[in-house]
Amino acid sequence: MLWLACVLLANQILWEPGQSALQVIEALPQLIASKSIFFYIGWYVVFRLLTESAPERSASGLDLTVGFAVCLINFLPGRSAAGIAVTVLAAYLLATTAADEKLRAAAAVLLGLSLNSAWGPKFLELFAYHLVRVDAALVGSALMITWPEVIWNGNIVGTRNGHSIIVYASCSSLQNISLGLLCWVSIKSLVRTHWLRADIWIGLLVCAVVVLLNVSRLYLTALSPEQYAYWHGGFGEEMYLWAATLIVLLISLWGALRVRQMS
Amino acid sequence: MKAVALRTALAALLLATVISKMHAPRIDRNLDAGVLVALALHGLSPHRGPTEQGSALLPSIYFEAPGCDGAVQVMTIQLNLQEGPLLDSVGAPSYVRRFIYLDRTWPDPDRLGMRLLWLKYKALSILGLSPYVPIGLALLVAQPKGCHAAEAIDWRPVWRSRG
Repeated sequence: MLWLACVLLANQILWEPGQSALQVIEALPQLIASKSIFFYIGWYVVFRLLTESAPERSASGLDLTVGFAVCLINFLPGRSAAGIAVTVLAAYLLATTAADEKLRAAAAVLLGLSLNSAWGPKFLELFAYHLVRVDAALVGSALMITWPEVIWNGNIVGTRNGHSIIVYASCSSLQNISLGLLCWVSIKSLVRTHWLRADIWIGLLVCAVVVLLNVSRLYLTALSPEQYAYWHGGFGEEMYLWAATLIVLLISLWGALRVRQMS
Repeated sequence: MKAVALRTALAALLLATVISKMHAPRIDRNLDAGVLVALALHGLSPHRGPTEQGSALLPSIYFEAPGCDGAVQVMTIQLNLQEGPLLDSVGAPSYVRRFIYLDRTWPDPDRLGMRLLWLKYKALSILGLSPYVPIGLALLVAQPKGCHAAEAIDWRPVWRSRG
């Protein structure tokens, strides 16, 4: 299982089509840095849970068949193939490891990883315009409350000072929600393997905070060209990324530890 | 012994899958090269438009066509049409816009129709049966009223594999 996880992790990181081996090695630091810290936390938790799971259990014929099938999925074209392979492995683990809590928890984190790397981006690609209009509506409403005159047309929002922004899929809150949920599931699975009803509320809290932070940043970029430059590509964006990461991490830790104490 | 063989097989699969990813075709971020090829096949002489600083839209390609009262504008757009209301401003106000993807043309934005076409050719491409590379980029052609250049041109070479 650890080897299988290695195959999946390598395929998720080393996506550089049309490059030679040397170019991929050169681009390795960039490829590693392009992934979120929550991606690595997720994989760390998966590896740790797999290592801690019942070591005496040897692989069955079905385990090997599914394992090789999961590897073969990675030969399919497209960026999502690795994420789909992760989903298949997670589904198999959930279906066959009822007695092993560690493996079930690893499967939950794998699902979080596939949601973030394959299904979330696919969903966003399919419904991008409708999803970004939701973000634009939140920003537009906030602007209408705080500014006398506002431009708001579909996914374009701004003020009447001649500055407006277009909300693209890459700025969508959904992107951040899938990362936030991945962090929450990973931290929870690291602290305890079983699920509690209160976990749903912590997950919802993570989603709400992520949306609030993203909409706040979009609101600021819509105010003026100077604010846009600061919060989109400038120091403000760096600050936002660090703050959002820290806040999601703290909520996840708080949720996992607090609920553990209560249970 | 069995465990060693298994680990060796998985290590080989790890390498093979990563190498197969490197050999995957690189996806272009716009369709300009394909558009130039398609227009050249019709004997048209296109030219690239200026890159507008701060514009959310990609630069266009322009060409003159017989029977058209003005230049025809061709722009690469996202298949999900996330550019939204900005697309209404492409071309002069009197221009007629057409949305083109693979082998079909739409007079109005049709996200579902375009996505279903993408799905069809994506499935075919996984089986190695698609004549196109179904990437998530489409074309918006803006032409003067009464001009039928967009309909007369065979745009399919834009998405044909050039590998």
